[in-house]
Amino acid sequence: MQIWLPLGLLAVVALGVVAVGLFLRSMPGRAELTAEERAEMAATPMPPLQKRAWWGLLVTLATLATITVILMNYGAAEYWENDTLRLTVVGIFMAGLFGYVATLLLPQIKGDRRNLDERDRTVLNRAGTVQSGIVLIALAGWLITLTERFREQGAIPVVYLYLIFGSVVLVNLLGQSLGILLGYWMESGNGEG
Amino acid sequence: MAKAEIANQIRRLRFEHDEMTQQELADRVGCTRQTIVLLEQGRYAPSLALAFRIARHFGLSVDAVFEYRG
Repeated sequence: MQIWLPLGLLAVVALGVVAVGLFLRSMPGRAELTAEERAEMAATPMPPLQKRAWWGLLVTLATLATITVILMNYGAAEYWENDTLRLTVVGIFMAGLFGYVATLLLPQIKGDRRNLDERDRTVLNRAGTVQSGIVLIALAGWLITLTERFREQGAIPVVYLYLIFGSVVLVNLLGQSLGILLGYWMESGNGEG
Repeated sequence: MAKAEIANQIRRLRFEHDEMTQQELADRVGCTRQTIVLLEQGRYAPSLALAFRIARHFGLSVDAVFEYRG
């Protein structure tokens, strides 16, 4: 029976690697720009989707980092028993989610109501591959950590279900922002997708 | 990313049309300025729909604006 655990973990990690590999393969590759082209790109404002992704990355990273520091300081058991601590973490999590939603509304707030153009849509579609890859890697991380930590007890405390869910939500949002930024960095060379 | 296989005359046409800015063209054909910049640098091949919108905007046919160099 023991053989299935490492095999399962290996399969999950391999899936994540395959997802990231597929994404990179679907990209045309990083452009080699001339000095003139680089100057022109630097003078060109970012599309609204790219700006949104930078803000999304900032918000999700800040939320994840804050919650991680708190949980590492107090521990999962204290989080589960101390209502004040739990509410604080939930409050930070909700603030992070609202912050992310605010980044989605950013173009409207700034009066830029243009729809995404075809290049933005291609970048957005490709970002999904990075998103799912990162979620798989995060789940594999939880699986390995919890299995090794609680192998002797044979059971994992319920508190971890909440932590896994919360982290996957944030990592999923982080993955989308990361995928979008990676897409713009590598650039989409074909409007037919 | 290598240069796209489709070359175009967009930069020249913009200057011939009252030195239209990239942003103006982008607004008129429904894309971002960054897409126009990449098109002019020959690093982005547009969809057929965008190619038609750009050509129509300049009052030309698609093959007068874009050229396949595959």
